[in-house]
Amino acid sequence: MSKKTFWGLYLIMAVLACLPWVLPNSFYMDLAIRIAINAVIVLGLNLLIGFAGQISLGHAGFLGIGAYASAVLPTHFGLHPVLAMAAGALVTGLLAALLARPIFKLKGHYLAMATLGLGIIINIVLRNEAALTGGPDGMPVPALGLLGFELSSDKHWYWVVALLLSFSVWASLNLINSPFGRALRALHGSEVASQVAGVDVVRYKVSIFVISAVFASLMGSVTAHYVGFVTPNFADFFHSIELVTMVVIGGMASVYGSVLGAVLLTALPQALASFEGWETVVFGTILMLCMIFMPRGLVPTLAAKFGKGA
Amino acid sequence: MALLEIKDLCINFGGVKAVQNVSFSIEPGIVYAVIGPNGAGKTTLFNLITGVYIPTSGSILLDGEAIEGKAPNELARRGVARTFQNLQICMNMSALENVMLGAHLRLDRNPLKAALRWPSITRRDAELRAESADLMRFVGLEAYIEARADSMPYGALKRLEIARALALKPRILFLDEPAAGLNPKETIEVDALVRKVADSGVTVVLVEHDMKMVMNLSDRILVLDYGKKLAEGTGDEVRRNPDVIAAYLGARTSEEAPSEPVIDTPSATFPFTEPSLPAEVLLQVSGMESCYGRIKALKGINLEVRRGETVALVGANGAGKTTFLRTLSGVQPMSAGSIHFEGEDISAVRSDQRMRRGICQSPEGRQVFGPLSIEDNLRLGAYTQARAHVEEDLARVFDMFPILKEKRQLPAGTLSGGQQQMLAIGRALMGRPQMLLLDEPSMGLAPLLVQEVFNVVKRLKAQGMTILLVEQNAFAALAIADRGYVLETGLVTLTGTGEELLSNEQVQAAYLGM
Repeated sequence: MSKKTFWGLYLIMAVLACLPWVLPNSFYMDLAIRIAINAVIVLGLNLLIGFAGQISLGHAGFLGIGAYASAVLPTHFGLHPVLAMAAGALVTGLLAALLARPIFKLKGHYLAMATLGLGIIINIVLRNEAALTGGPDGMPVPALGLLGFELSSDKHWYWVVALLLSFSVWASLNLINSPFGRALRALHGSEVASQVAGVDVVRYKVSIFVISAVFASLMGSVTAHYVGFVTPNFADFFHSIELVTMVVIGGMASVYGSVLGAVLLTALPQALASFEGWETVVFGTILMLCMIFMPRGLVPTLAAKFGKGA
Repeated sequence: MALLEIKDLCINFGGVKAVQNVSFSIEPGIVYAVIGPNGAGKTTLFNLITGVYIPTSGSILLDGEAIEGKAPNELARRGVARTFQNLQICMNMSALENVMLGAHLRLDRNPLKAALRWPSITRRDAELRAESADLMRFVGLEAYIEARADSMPYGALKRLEIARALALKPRILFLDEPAAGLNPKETIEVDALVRKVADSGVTVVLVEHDMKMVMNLSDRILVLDYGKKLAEGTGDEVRRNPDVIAAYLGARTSEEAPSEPVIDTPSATFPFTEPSLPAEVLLQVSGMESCYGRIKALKGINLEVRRGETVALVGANGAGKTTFLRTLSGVQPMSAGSIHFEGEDISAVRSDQRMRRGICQSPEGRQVFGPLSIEDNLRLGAYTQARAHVEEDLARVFDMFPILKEKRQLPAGTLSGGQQQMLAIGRALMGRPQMLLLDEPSMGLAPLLVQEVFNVVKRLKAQGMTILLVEQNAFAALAIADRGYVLETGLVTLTGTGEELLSNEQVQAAYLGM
């Protein structure tokens, strides 16, 4: 792996380090935190969709499991938030692993339908188990504390998610350029070729599905603690689609594309607020133009244009 | 003990017995070739042994251990590597990464350690990078070590597959048509490469149509025909075997003979083009240029076809033959020049409209609609035609290709390569062509079938069809053509009557790269 690969990471870290001094008020601080959280989720999802070439339309479901684990377990069972987060990730991982084998016998549209169904089922469970989850109204989430230190101010949150994002970018870059990541990309490129090279294709699809689901669950917990309140909308189908859109707009199989996709799709609706009733129309138009003129996504298209690797 | 032992191997696809009761064994360290006419079951046999298909019955022993039904990745673990007839390269990765993939099983594949940049993993990866670069040099790809796989030419990708297979450190290597689609010079290089691989101690099993290469390389040869073992032995034994000679050259004695040669079945005629008066110019191409990105594939082609003529366009791989046809039919954009058809400028006419004007193409690699029935494939060819004469045309095509009539309800994907070629030509004829474009109709076919295809072309010609024939098989094409054009790296370098070109040394030079 060349040194060049990490330039983008250094740039992201530099931007993250400077932002708190540049951002004018807490509104922007809040936006920056949401962007960073989304970026980490999208990184995990891009490993599955962009690199391994397997679609998931139910990822918000895993996010929901993590978020509700962090809300329900401390509130009703008095579990420590950190343990609750771990429990959410564990449950998500087990669920994903259990379902992945039958799901990955499917391909293309069928795989999309199966993951879509999974996401919807999780959403329905969260809505209907009102005794635990508060139903459609949602429920409050206790603050996240560790060793007597409680995360409360935006500033603290900012540094935590900035660190998480930098680490995730670094880990993703490492992963895709490792034997594991090569096998993932290879099964996307040619399943039969990777199989005869010794790659256990099903096992790799299952692994990356579980990894990206656990990523989503953990970040669901983080979001829940940050926002302080969860609703079933966390696990909603439209949220899944939003995440997939971030992957596609930023660029499939591009680590930096994931970050850029999250930045654009989280910030753009805010930036377009001045269009009032028309913001969704303008937003949709921008997305359509992006896809028409840059079908491979922003980062791969720009990288190809300026002849640099991404 | 034999390294690989096959006993009574069978597989059925639906009712088709693709491989029947085949038994043979391969001693370690030899080069073993599997040959046979198209559709004989060679690739199916490879797919059975390498775990892509599961046999219906029979056994496969590798070093005495039963391996039938095991997945390809489990076989890779036991040292079985292979390449594919139709390339299987990961185009989303670099050339070097494709080779590194071959070493997958020899690496630490833990994702957690990888994500944390564990020193042992990065160190091993750097070593592997160097090893894989060496392998690329070994197969003669030193120029492509830094290249992206999707930027490499076909011939180089064929070698890249071999390098990837070698990265597995295989005990037994299956090569499925390593020379298919290569020009004679490249074929000689691959021949030498396979020899080098065999000399390094790897047992090589080879499917190949190039008989010179097979005879030159193989210690033993297995001949398949209609899924059955026809003969086995050394090159000399096989060459002298009367059954083998019959299978290859025609003179078929067996009762079943499913693909009857269509030679001299005079019934079917295609009088769509009225046999004409002193030929008017039907197609006039001048200064045609076309580019793929920055690469100019056609650099100003001038060519004309008169009504009723058979014109051959020949040239080595990569000369631009297929690009020319694609540009002519409007699938590939033309960056300069003009095309006149029946006196009208059609440069700006969409491809579907060109087809309606009577330019019908049988594309390279046949491109039949695999899941659709043969009849539906043919009916699709008549998509632009008035319903009234579709039945009539269908009957004509069936007359011309009786095998298609016999199998009319079967999915086109179940046909062998030669039969698919007949179907592709039939489908083009259903469009009532003014001019028939044939792109590499003999590609990848066994000698007997090549002969059949050229017989079909001859008959169409005799009926007055205007034909533009693009062929790598220059000699056969020029022999039946009225006139020919020799294409070299995007330019017409020679033109003349078929006979003139046949005797021209420059034509041979264009092919052999001398």
